[in-house]
Amino acid sequence: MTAIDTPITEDHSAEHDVPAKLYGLIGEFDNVTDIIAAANTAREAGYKKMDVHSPFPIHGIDDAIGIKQTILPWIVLFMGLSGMTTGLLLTTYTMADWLPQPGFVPENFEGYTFLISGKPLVSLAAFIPVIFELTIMFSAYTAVFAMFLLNKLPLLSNPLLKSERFRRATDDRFFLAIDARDGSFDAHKTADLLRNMHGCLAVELIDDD
Amino acid sequence: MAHGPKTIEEADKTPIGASAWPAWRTCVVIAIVGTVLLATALVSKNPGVVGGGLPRLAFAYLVGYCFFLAVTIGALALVLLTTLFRAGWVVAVRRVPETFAANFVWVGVLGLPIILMGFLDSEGQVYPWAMSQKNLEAQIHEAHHLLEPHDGHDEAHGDTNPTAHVQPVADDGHGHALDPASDGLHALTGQPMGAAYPDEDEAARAIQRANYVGLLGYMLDKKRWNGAIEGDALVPVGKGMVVPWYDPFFYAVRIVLYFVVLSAMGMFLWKCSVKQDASADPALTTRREWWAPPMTVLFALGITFLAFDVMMSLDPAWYSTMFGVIFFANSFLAGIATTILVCLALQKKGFLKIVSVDHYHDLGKLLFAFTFFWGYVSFSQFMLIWYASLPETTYWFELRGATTVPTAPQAGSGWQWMILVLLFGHLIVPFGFLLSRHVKRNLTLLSIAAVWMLLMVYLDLFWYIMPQYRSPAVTFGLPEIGAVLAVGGVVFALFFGRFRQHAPVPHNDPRMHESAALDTSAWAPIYH
Repeated sequence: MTAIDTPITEDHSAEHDVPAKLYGLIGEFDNVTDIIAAANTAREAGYKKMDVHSPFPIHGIDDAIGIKQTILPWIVLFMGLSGMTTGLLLTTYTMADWLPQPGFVPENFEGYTFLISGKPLVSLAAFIPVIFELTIMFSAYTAVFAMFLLNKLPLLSNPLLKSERFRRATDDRFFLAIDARDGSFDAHKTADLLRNMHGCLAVELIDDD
Repeated sequence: MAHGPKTIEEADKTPIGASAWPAWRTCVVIAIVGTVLLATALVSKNPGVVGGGLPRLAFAYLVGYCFFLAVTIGALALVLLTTLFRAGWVVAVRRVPETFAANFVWVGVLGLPIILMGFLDSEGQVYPWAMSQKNLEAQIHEAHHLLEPHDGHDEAHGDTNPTAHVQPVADDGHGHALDPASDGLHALTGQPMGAAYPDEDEAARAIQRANYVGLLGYMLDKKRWNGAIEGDALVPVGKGMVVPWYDPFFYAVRIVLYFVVLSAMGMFLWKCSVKQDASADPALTTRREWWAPPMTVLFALGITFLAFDVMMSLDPAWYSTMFGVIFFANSFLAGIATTILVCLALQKKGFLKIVSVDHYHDLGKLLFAFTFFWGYVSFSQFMLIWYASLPETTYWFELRGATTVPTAPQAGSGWQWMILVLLFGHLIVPFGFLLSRHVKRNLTLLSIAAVWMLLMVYLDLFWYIMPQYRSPAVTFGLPEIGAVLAVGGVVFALFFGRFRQHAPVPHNDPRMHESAALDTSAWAPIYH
């Protein structure tokens, strides 16, 4: 039997020497019902910076952890509208002969005034594909890269991965991780809270160095 | 757990039975009222709020009919595509679109007048291709006289418009040229053609009509097809095919074939589903899913050609390969919107307890997606025709007001506002409105969006069909409203008649638990 199979064998938080640089505490559970109840308890106790790690997505976990709605859609909307404006300005400016041509713009970039199949120089219908594609391009790239930024990716290493016990988060265990940066965090009290939760198998202190 | 899988209540497993009668009765009353309103087309010959005679009746019926054809096709598409993708979420609401799709055969019966028009409409008032050869020749003859210069400018004609006689693309069989492009241009540049008309607009309109008849004569002349016109080497094979394609008998066979195939699909999907209510046999689901791919191919071909034959052939000289796709986009929107509204109405009466806001959210997503899809394909059709600027295709948009060319007042001026309503009302406004998930999860706002999209689908079909009856004037009145009520009343009465007999939820579907546990509320988790 390995150490991680044994329920509550080593409990670092009980020791008096709490490391100076602390990442947080993790509590181990072995089923979905307990982890959701645990997340609810922690949220009701006032913790905000916490996360649940599980081998598979859990319905309703967002509400239990109290995850705020992401601002990603607003960023994408803003960038989509920017793309639309860019497309409109680009097509109009490159085709028009009546827009202001400021001195700093090289002559090569001024209105081309191409006459195409007898259409007016500024024909919105002809510009729509360009505007559409730029809108899509701005939104799609923003959606991907803003998601990276919001998730603080790429993250090459996470202190949680140093824990032997935590490896089972990809297999058959559920972990509630409470961040040390949380305002209500106190190594001893938080450890007690986790330990007293229903179904908690182990509590482990994760140091951050 | 915050969202545990719900258990299916007994009410969702028992047929709603007699509770459907009030709804059924209302539908029948609406259908009768609608028929009376539709018949007001016959009270006079002048098309206004009422009146207009048989052609008005036929066109009003055609718009109303195509609208509910779209609803039924959309319902079939929803069931077919979710079966194809083996979607679990849809099971809770599936019985509603399934029942609409099972009634496809009755929608086919309602379409019988359209087949009859092919045989009886010898003046070509609805379908120009149904015109008899005698009437066609008479019309061409008349058009020829209109296009002929009235004051002996024959020589000048040759000088100013040298192409007119070099390549006679249309010929009335008497050696006179009827070139739609050059003569139309000629007329609009101020030559004395059509001088018999005091009003310039009137004259231009008459000439446009005459040019169009020339184009029709060129395509529909049976003598040409039979090779009876000597030295006529100019008919390209594809365009000559118009004549045999629109043989009334072949037309009837095709329409029947489409409806047989589509009805069989609707009936098969529904039958498998209701059999499963009793037997709970997962093999029935497997069988549906095995047939889904070939059925999807047949479905795509069937509705595309149905749209070509029923709607696009109102103008046999015009063609667009995008037409069927746009009709599909409209149909799917109508099917989704109807499913949302019928489910909400049933829930209000206490049925479909298993359906939650998550299902509406998913239906709302499809409504949103296909709003944009409609805009995408409609704009593609417009842009290609606008860019290519071929007179044989652009006149179709001119007739419908989608033009800024100065000659437009002669063509579709009355319809100009409608193209803007469609652009904003069918695409931009609902796109912005349905973009937010809060709207899709708010059932009041979602039902407003569904009603609005149904209106817009109707308007789009109206915009496709009605200008063939009359343009630049817009004809809308009691017969049009009556047709919607009449066909809608029958379609919904048939829906309730079928829906009441079986459980409102396909509770024994092997994917039922998946649908019952559906939760689309989660945000993408982000750990700050």
